Amino acid sequence: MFLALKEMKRAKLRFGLLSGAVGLLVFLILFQQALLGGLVNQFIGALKHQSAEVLVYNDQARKNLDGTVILPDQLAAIGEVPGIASVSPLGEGTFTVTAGGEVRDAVIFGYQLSGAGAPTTLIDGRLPKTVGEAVASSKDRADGFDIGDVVQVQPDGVFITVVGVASDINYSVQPVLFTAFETFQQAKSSRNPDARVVLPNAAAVQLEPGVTPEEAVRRINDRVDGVEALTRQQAVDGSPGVSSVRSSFAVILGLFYLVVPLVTGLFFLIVTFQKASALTLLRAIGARASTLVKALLVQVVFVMLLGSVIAFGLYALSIQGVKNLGVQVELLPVLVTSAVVLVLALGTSLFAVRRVLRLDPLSATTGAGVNV
Amino acid sequence: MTVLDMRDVRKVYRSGDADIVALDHATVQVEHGEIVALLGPSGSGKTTLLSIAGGLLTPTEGSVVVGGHDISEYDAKQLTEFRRENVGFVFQSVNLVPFLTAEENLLVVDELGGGKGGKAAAARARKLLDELGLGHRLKNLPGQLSGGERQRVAIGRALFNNPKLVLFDEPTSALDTKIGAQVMELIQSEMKARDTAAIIVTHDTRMTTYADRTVHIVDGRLDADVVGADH
Repeated sequence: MFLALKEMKRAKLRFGLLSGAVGLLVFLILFQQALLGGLVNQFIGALKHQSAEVLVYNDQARKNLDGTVILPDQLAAIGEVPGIASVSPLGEGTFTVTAGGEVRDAVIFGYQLSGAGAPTTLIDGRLPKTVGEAVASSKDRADGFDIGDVVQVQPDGVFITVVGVASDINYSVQPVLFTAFETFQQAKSSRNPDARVVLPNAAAVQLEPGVTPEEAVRRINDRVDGVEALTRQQAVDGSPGVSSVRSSFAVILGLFYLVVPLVTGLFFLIVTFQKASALTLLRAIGARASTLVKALLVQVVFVMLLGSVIAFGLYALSIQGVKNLGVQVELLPVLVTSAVVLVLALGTSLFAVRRVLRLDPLSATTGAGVNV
Repeated sequence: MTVLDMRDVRKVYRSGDADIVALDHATVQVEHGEIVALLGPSGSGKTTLLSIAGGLLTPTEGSVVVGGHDISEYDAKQLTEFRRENVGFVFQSVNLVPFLTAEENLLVVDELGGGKGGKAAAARARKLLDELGLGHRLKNLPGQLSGGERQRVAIGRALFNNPKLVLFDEPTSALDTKIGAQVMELIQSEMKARDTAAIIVTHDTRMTTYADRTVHIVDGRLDADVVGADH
């Protein structure tokens, strides 16, 4: 510790700059992770935060909720599968509505009020109790989706009263209304009066105690023809656009996760070369190699921790500017990211450690440094 | 009492198919409080002998006993501990850690041994530097010191652990004649005051006047001892 701390004390600018650089890079990781989380929530928050543990789509739908219908006999067959407590219809559609005096698009989710599919992140008000009531996405409160607001579905005037708001339930980056399946049917019919019947997009499944979603998915897929059952997480991950957004971000984040430790490792390697003669001298006068390695690792940990603190400060500040994306400051991602980059940086610092271990104390007699 | 007892020491380096003999059956003893000048031209094996005596290098053959420790068969770890506890070094060029102050360059010796000295170690460092005429330079970094001052700090560091033997490798080669003479006088007085044995490697015959005796080395072989001019 003595050597590590004294060196950092005497080279504040050098270590400060590195910590700043690490801080900026870690901040970018944190910000992009938050942005990814916010975007994904805006795309499929409604699926992620509804109560059905298993959703059943048509097997031709390719996990696209917009492109699936479940037939009545399929719904009945799903209800017969062992371990299924109940199954109910779940409808989803994008409608033009009038809200807050303006015409805009909104996604209506229709679920059976006594069944699965209700929003799970209610933050104000209550769930709908009857036809014509809805829970709206909290992000859109100011746009005519607050409690007490009445939303009118175009063109024929189905009226929906907002009785509650829930967080993170947007879908396809649109405002969402969770309402009774009958209300959803009315909205659909008002748009297409000639339709004889409005079919649900999916089946929302409740499980018996002790049955896992994975087990239920396997049983449904084995026993019911023409459907594809998915756990809630599978439905979220498989939604169109989500996986491509995630993989695009994964590439960018992966590069950052690579760059941070490389920058750190390179810095310490350069510093080790620069002070090779001093380290050789210390070895010559009796410093154990492990003592010098520990000093190096203490500095790596210090730089990464300081960098993480800087990153957290920047992250917390910047999140305020993008709150409209549903992004929030969360401590856990900061801790996990900091721990990951610390471990990676310690890994890349092994190049510098290797140099330290290769120092030949005899080189002190010649004034040379590393014995390559 | 003999502090350094090297007997029949050989050091052979392998270079391709050829053997290069850097030290050839060298035998030398240094007594308690004795200053020995090791004089020889470049490439004669001076530094090799010094390195073996100080545990920086292991001999190919022969025995090396320093302060009662037979270090001939010590492994790298044992040699590291031996150097830290028993020997002081003053090298030719790089002698100080650039990011440590003069005082800390002495205290680092205590730190490397576990840092058990505490306030006593700090007091000793200040006292030593004061004796070396550097009482006003305690908080200065090496870059803020002159060449002579830097070597004096290095002498202080070499003496900090009360070693049985101090090894000087061309300690004045980077200094001008006047400062070099001052440093040699300081070395002589400090060694005598502490009754510490020393070997001073040099190729400058003028430096031998500060030694009790001079040992010549040519092509890795030691010649007969010559008693120093002043003694």
